[in-house]
Amino acid sequence: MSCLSISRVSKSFGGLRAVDGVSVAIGRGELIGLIGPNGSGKTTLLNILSGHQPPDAGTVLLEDRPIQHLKPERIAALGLQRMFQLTRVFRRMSALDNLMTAGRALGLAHAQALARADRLLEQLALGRVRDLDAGQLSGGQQKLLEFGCCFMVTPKIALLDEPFAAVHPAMKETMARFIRTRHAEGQTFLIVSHDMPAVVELCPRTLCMNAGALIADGPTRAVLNDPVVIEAYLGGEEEAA
Amino acid sequence: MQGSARRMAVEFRLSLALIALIALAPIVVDNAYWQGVLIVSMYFALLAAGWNLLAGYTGQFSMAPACFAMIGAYTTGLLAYHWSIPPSLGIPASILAAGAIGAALGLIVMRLRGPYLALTTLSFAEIMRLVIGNSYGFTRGDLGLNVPGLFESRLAYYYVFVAVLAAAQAGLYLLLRSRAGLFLRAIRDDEVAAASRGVDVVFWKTAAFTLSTAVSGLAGALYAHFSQLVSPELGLVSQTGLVICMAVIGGIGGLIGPIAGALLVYVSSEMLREAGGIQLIVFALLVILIARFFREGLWGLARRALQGSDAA
Amino acid sequence: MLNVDLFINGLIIGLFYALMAVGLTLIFGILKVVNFAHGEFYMVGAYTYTLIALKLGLDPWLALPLALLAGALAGWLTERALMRPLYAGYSSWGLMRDEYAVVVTFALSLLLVNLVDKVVGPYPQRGPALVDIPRMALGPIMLSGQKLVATGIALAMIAGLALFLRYSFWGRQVRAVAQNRLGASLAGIDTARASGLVFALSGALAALSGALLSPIINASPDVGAFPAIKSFVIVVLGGMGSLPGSIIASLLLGVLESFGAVYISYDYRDTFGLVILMLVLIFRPQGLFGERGREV
Repeated sequence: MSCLSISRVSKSFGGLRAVDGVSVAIGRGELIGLIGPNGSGKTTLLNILSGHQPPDAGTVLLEDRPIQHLKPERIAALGLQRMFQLTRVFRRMSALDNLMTAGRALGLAHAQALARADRLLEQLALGRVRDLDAGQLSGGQQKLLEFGCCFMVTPKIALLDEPFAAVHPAMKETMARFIRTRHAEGQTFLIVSHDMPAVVELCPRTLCMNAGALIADGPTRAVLNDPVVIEAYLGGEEEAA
Repeated sequence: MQGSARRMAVEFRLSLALIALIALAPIVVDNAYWQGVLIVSMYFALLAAGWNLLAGYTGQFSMAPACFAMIGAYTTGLLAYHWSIPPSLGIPASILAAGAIGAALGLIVMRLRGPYLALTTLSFAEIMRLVIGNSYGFTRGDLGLNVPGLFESRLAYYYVFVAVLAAAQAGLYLLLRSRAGLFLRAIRDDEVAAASRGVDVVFWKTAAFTLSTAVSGLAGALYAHFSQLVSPELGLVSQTGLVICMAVIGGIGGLIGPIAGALLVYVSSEMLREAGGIQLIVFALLVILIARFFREGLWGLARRALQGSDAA
Repeated sequence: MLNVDLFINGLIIGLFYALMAVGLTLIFGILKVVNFAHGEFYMVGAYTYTLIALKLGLDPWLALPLALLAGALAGWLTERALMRPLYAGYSSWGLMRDEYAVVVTFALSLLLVNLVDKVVGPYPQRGPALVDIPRMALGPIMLSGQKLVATGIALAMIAGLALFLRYSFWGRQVRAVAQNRLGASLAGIDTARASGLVFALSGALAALSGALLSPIINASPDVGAFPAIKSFVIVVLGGMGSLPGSIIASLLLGVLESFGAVYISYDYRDTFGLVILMLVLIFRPQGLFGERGREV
C-alpha cells in the first residue's frame, strides 16, 4: 500500500487550469522533491492534498483512505502534516505553545506534549526562544518552528512547501539534517522547492510540474537533465523576459 | 512553568483577590444604593468576562452580549410571569436558552470575520430587541416585565453575585489553562494554521460562542431577579457598547481586565453621574485613547509598569 | 394608485439611504473596514443645519453647505486621528485591524452621541424646510415641496459623486487605492490623502442626508442610529465596496420597507432590512454585486 496515492486530480480557477490530471503514487518512506517553474500548480496541489482546497476531479488516498473532500483538521488528524510557503505560526503564542497546540490537537496528553516539544526545540536549535512569542522570532526561526509543529506527532507524510526559501544557511542545515534523520527512520516526505542543490542532495526521486500537469517523475538527476523539464524552466524564463 | 502559563496564574490569583475585595466591601459600604451599584458592576463584569472569552481569546468580535443577557432575563422572567416557575428552575432555563440560541448563532456566523461578524451579531441583537419590544401581549414590551425577587435582603443578592462571579472566573481559568485555551488562542491568531495543526475550528469556535452567551444569559437572569423589572432596554446595542468599553479599558485578552474594567467603569460612572452625566463621554474617550495607543488596556499598562520596576 | 405612491416614496427614501450608504461603501472599498460612527456624521449634519438656521438665523440654503462642510470636517478628522493604525506598518494592532476599527469607531459613536446630548440637550430639534411649498401633485402622487427639493439635491450629489470618481484626478486615485493599496502607493499615490478624502466625502454626504431630512426626522443625539443600521444593511447587500451595487441596494431597501410597512407589518418595518442583512451575510456574503473573498 502506498502512503499517498494521487489519482487524476484536477482543479480550475475560472478559465485557468491550475492542476491538470495529476497522478502519482508516493510510497512509504520515500523522500520526494517537487519542482516546477512559478505558477505550475505546485502549491495548489499541496492545498488540495492538505484539504484547504477541494479538487474538481480525482481522488487522493492516504494509505488507501480517500481524503480529497475532508477538512484540513481531519486530514491532519489522519496523519498528513503540511508547511506553508508563507510561514504560518501563531504569532501571539510562545514557540512552546505553538508546538503544544499542535501536539494537543493531535491527541497528546499535556506531559507527553511538553516532553516532545522540548525535545523538538532542542533538535531545531530553538531552545533559546522557547518562551518568546512566535511573532518576535526571525523569519527563519518561524519557519523552523512551523517545521517542528509538523512533527509533534509523527505524521504519515510531511508536505513541505519551500522550506528552504529565505532561510539562513545554518538553519537550512538544521532542517536538512532533521529531514535526513527522520527519513532514515522511515518518514515520508514531499518537498516543494526551488533550491535545486538541496533537492539533489536530499531527494532520490523528483517530480516536475508545469502548467498544472506532471511532466516528469523519476530519479532526481535524470529529471533534472530531462529536456522537457529544462524546456519548462527555460520557456518560462523566456516569456518573462 | 512556562511564561504565559505563569502570567495567567498570576492574573487569576489577582482577579480572585479583587473578587475577595468586593466580597469584603459591604463592611465599609453599608449604603444600600452603593451596594446596588456594586451588584450591577458584577453583572457587567460577567458580561465583560464572557465577551472577552469570545473577542480576546477567540478573536470573534460579537456585538450581542447585552442581547443574550436580555434573553436570559426574559427567559426566567416570562417563565415566572406566565407559568409561575420558580427561579430555581428559571435561572437554569435562562442559561440553557441563551446557550442554545448562542450555539445556533455561533454556527451561523462561523465563517464570518471582523466587521461582517460584528454586523451580523448586531443585526441579530437589534432584531431580538425589536421582537421582544413589539410583542406586548407576551412580554409587555416597553412597559417592562415584573419579575419576582429571590431574597429579602440586598446583601443576599450581593453574595450570590460574588459567588457566581468567582465561579465563572474559576471556570474560565480552568478552561483557558487546559488545551482549550491553546486552541482558542490558536484560532484567534490564525484559523488556517490552526486547522492545519488539527484543531477542530468549528467545534471550538462554537463552544466559545455558546459558553460566552450562556454566561451572559446567567448574568441576565440574576439581574432580572435582582432588579425585579426587565425591559428590552437591557439588550440595547449601547449596552453592548458599554460592555466593550469596559473590557477594552480593563484590557482584553487577559483574565483580570474585564472584571477590573467593569468595576472601574460602572462605579466611576455612578460617581460621575452626580457630577452631571458625563460618564459615557469620559469612558468613550478613554476607550478611543486606549485602543489607539495602548492595546493592552489599563491592566496591560500596569503590568508593564510592574515588570519595568522588576527589571530595575 | 396606492402601490405607485408606495413605490415612488420607497424610491425617494431609497435615495436618501443611498446618500448615507455610498460614503460607507467608499470607506469599505478603500480601507476594508466598517465605520460604526457613520450615523454620527448624519447627526452632525442634522444639528449643524438646524442650529445654524435656528440659532444664528441664517437662511437654510446657506446652512446646508455649512452642514456639508461640518460633515466633511468630521469625517476627515476621524480618519486623521483614528485610522492610522489600519495602514501597514503599525505593529500594535497589526493582527486585529478589523477589531480595532470596530472598537474605535463604536467608541467614537458613543462619544459623539453623548457629547451632543450633554452640550446641546436631548430634545429633538426640528430643522427648517428649504422651501415653503406645501403638498403638490406630481403626476399620480402627492409630494411636499421640501421632499421634492431634497430629492433633487440628493440626486445631484450622487450623480456628482459618480462623475467625480470616474473622471476627476482625485477620483481616479481613490479608485486605484480601493483596488490595490500597496500597488497604488508604489505607483506614487498618496494613500493617506486618498483615505482622508474618502472619509471627508463620506461625512459630507451623510451630513447632507441628515440636514435634508431634519424637517421630517428631527435632529436628536441618537438620530443617527437608524440611518447607520440601514447603511450597514445596504453596504452588505450591495456588496461591500461596490458603488453601483449600494445605490441599487438602497433603492431596493427603500421600496421594500415602503411596501412592507403597509402590507406586512408597520411595527416590524425596521426588521426587514436586518433580517435581509443576516440572510445575505450567511448565504451570499459577497452581497448582490460584490466580489468574493470573505473567508480565509
